[in-house]
Amino acid sequence: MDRAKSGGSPSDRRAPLPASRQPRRPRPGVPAIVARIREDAQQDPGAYIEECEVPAGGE
Amino acid sequence: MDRAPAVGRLLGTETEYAIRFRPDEGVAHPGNQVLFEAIRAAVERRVLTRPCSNLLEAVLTENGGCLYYEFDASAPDGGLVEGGTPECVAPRQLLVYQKAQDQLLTEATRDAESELRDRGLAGELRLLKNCRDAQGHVYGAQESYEVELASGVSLLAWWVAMGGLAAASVALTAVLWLVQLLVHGLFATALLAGVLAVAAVLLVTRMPTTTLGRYLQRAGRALDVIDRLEARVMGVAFAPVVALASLAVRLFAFRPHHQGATAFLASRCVFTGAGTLMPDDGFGLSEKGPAMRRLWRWTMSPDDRGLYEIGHLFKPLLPSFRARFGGLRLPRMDLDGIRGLFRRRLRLQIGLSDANLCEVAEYLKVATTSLVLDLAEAGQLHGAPELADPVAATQVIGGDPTLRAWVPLEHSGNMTGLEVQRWYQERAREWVEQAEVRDLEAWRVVTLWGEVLDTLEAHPEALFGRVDWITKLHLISSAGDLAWAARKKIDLRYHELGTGYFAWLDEAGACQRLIEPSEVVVACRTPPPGSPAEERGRLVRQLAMHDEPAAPPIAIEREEEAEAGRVIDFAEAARRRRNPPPEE
Repeated sequence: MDRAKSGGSPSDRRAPLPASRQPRRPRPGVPAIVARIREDAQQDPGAYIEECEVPAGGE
Repeated sequence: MDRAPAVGRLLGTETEYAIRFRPDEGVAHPGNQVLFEAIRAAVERRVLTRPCSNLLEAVLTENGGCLYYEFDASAPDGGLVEGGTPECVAPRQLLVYQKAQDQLLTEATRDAESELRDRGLAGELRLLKNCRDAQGHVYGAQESYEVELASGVSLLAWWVAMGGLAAASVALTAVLWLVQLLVHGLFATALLAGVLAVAAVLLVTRMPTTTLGRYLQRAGRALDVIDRLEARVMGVAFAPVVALASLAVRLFAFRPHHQGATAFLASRCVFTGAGTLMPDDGFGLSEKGPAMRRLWRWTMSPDDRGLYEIGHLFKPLLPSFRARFGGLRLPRMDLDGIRGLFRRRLRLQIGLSDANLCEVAEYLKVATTSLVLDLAEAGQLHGAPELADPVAATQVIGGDPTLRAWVPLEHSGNMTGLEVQRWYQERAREWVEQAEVRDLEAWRVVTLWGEVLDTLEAHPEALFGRVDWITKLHLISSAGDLAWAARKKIDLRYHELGTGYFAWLDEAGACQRLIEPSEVVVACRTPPPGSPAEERGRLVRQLAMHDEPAAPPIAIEREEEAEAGRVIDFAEAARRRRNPPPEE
């Protein structure tokens, strides 16, 4: 494989992305939703897991 | 260059949705078939539909899609809702129709829950758009792309192979007919003799008539045993046909596609994977990945899963037992399906496919695959990475959320999954840039693809709300101190349509959207323009609106439909509409 054509290995240092392509950060409000998810996940997880079973699988 | 790059071939997806029902106190679970029927009835109240003739409990919707109950004979009450999008002509169009299907089912499930409550079956009814339950059962998503099956000598060899296998199947089916008639004839004779004997004994001894009822119940159970035995015999008898068909696929069919695109498919989980929390507490990028056993299946066993799904090529060669003749289920060959195996363009179905909720991941999954297939058909994949063991590579790449794992190449060297993807993205970008007429959607695809790969390398967490496995991993990691069961619930409930954790994030604006809600609303009721599904949708609307209960059910053939005995070639109709004859 020609690493030059491929753009290099993951360990190569890339030039910083332009401002318009800066990584998006989670929007405000997400931490609150994550906390709500964490709370809900602790309600009857065993029963939930059983209810989601697909006994014979599918295609 | 052979032709201008265009992300424009017929493509579609099939999605199996898991059914979750939590009955209220004192209510028994009615079984998934009852729940499916309630959901189907709710769909029928929202959009125009017609029943399908060759799929059990199925309906076609007015946008050209279909909906049916998918189940295994070993667990008829544990089935899934399966939805098929209409055939689309572009990846973005397919994204719109997939979202339309999801939305229609979300709303129908809510309606069905109310209707079941009114009938005394109160409970919480939900659909999950995922591919793996906590017990390791696998189901879910498949993608289909219309491709050229073969050309030249390979095509000729394929036709010869299919001709031979079809002849063998017809002969075997004829033998099965005779055996079944003989077995059922003997059974009926024995049953009649038994009924007469029991009746005579009852008359003489004046025993209660419930004895006759018990005898008939036992006879019914014996008939079930005979049916199951016949299914086993059929499986054994046709196993060589399936194996030879699989060999024909390996040798003659889809050669430029699987030779050039396999490494791409094995590594694309870096942005298409839905993520899964494993029983050993590890996190995998892909739900379906761990279930892959080989490149192509050899048998019809559900465990014999391949990166490429070719079961749809075997099915026409196997007899169906759904035909009933006065209560007797005799095997029937699908002659139209066999004819379809001789077409030059067939469906290439991808089995290694996770069901996505993030629109960016869902779009890139089908768009990049369609573009790579374009490259393969244009002979632009010379030098593509060849993995030493694609199935093993799928497991290694899918098992590493750090994206650093290396997989060996066929001849020498190693690559990471990201590097494999980068190779294909660069090749696609060059090809699109060099086209005389640049295809706008193809350009958007390679640009978005490159951005996602850049972000995966530099700041993968920034793809929260854009790539499902990254979003899910963040949620599960945030609950790192909780018990495994609670974190597994996060994994599963992420996928609940309309009410799950992805839906909570989406409603809060945390997930990037690529399409407008108004497009989805239109797509629920209108078939994709320029697709063979347009004629199917028109037919469904025409028959449903004129309320013709005596009209024959519509067969779900993707190329042809029958309207009151007249065969309509949908592909030809679509071509005529795109190229209308000059007015005289």
